[in-house]
Formats: sequence, structure tokens, C-alpha cells
Amino acid sequence: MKKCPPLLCRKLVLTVDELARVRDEVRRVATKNHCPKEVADALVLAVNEACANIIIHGYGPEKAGEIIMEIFHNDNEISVRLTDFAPTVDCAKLQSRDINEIRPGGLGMFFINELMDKVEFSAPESGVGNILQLTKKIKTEE
Amino acid sequence: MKYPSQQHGSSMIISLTGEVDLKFSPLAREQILKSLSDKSHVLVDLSEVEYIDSSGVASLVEGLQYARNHRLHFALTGVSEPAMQVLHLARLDQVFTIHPNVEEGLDAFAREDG
Repeated sequence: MKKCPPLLCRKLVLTVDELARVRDEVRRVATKNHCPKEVADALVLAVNEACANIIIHGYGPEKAGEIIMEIFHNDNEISVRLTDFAPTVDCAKLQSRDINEIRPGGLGMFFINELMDKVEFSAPESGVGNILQLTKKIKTEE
Repeated sequence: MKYPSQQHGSSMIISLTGEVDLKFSPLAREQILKSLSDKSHVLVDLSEVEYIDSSGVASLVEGLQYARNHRLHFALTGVSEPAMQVLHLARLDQVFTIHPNVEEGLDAFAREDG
């Protein structure tokens, strides 16, 4: 899948003002490529949560930082890869919290893990930043 | 920007609208907590919410916890389908008190004050 050219490759300066545009782009590409509504909804929310985490935990809420958003697609799955250039995140700190504990905050990673079929963290070759790839299956295997 | 709100006796109705994401959830949180700190019961109308993310849900959870700690009523009303999907995903649809509409929410508050 990664060898296919992306359907979309967008470089943007990520702020809270850009989140709606990110969601619109993901939904547009997913819908145009015949993803069912539930797949598009899941992908939109997961990408939104990932971008929110980059804003809050990556660059910091007061700073804007650049990201690259790429969307890949084949018959079976759709995938969004987010590359940021913030300090490297300790993946151990990004685990879902206990959902039975009722408290504000910490829901973002839980949503991502619940909604996506595959969640992959890696480091860019440059060694600076973080790559998060979110993948959702389009067809259920029988 | 401020979300529409309306005082009904000792209750405040706050109507969240549109996309309640990281940009707008601080406004929702501020209005909810301000009303609760003014000793109002709070009914949050979600009928016009087109999208809500974890930060929006967190503002509702914070309101619920504040209300519980201060013996105030806190409930949701008219929850739109997109909002309900996210509350269900967060396993919170069984945690919040949810009324079909504002009138029933206010009636329930009145009964609880009984």
C-alpha cells in the first residue's frame, strides 16, 4: 500500500483553526473513493484526534507546527499518514486509558485505537518528528 | 463567540451547535462551568451538534463531575446522531442523563428538586 502514490499529499501548518479543513479533506477523499459512511466517519474522527494530539502534545497548544498528511487507498483499506516535526513522542505515553474511569481527557488515543484497524507509530528517516499511520479496512473479510 | 444559552428559573440551558472540536470546546467548557459555578443546574442541548470530538466530550464530562461534586443537576438533551455515536464510542451514553428534549429535561430537574 505504501508504494502506491498517495491520493492526497498536503503540507499544512497545523492549528486548531485547520482541524475543520483537515476533516473536510479526509471525508472528501474517503467519499470520492467509495468508502462507506461509517468508514469515512471513523477515519475523520481518528485523524482529528491524531491532529489534536499533535497540537496539544507535539508542538504545544500555543505553537503552530507543520505536518504532512498523505492519504493512501486500495480496494481493501484506506490509510492516512501524518508526519510531524515536533519532538519525538514516547509511544508508551500514548496508550489508551481505562475507559471505565470517568474523567475528562485522555479519550483521543482510545478513540483512535477503537476506530482504526491498524495504528502504527514510526520515526522519519531524518530522525526528527513522528509518523503516525492510521488504517481502516473498507471491506469486511468473510 | 458564545453558545446560545437561556436561564429557566434555577436551570441554565446551553445549546452547543456545529462542530465542537478543539477550537470550540474551550468555549463550551467555560460556559458550562461558569453556569454551574453560579449554582445553576445545567441542561446541555446537543440537537444542533454536527460533530463532536474527545475535547468536546471532555467538556461535558467535566461539567458532569462538577455538578455531582456540588449537588447540582446536569443532563444532556436532544442528542444529535453524530454526537450520540461519539458518546457511545466513549461508553458515556449510559453515564450521562439524556432527555429527548429541553422540556422533558426541565421537568426532570423540577421533579428531582421536588
